[in-house]
Amino acid sequence: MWLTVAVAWVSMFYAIAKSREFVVIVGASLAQSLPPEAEYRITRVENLQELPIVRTGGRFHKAGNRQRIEWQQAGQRVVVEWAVVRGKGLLIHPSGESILVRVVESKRVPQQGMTFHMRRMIYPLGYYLILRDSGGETLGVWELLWHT
Amino acid sequence: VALVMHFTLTRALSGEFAYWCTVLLVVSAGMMSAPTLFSPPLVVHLLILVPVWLFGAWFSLLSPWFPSFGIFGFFPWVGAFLLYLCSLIVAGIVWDWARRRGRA
Repeated sequence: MWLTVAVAWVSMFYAIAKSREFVVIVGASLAQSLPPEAEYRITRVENLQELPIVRTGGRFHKAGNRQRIEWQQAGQRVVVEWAVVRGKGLLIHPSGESILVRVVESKRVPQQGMTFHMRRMIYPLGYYLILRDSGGETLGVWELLWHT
Repeated sequence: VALVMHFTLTRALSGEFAYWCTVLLVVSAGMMSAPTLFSPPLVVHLLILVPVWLFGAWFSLLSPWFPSFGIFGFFPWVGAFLLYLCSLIVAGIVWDWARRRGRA
């Protein structure tokens, strides 16, 4: 019985320590497998040399059905812009709001013509953007939070 | 849960499989908690359950970062807790019924 107690406590500390990493992996995997809620076609990518693998502060802008995210990287302004093809755009308003962006998984850097599939998080201000090529293959998973 | 996490982090298990494993483990934990709670109370029983509850609370706090869908989408923040509670109640009812039947 006391061995069970010891195993329970050790397991708890391990599980709590690893939970964040676990939720990120599982969340990204679920977001890929679930049907997308909206589809965005990437229309512009500027100065994207390195992907933001940690949460990076930036800005969200929109005009019509065009939306874009911007952040600073090595003194340059990185821009990723897309057009809403299907479903609703990201519900972040007004234009110019502060966001946090992070790449959770990545095989390729986004390029013009690629597609983002959107899936909302339970967290009401968060979105998964699943980067896909024209064949539907998943090339990466991005996380975008409205940083109010 | 700790083992599922370990094998998911080492990429031996897919994220989606790990998610459903977690759901199954939450249900199992609820069912196994019933006899532990309702049998003659011992300190050692609580010492087993407290880490389960602490981890459950922490996991529920992190659950908003899952994509919204199904039961976890409808019950944000408390999906895992509700699943645990339902399993606990059902197992408790069955356990109590079996005990009364054994006495009779």
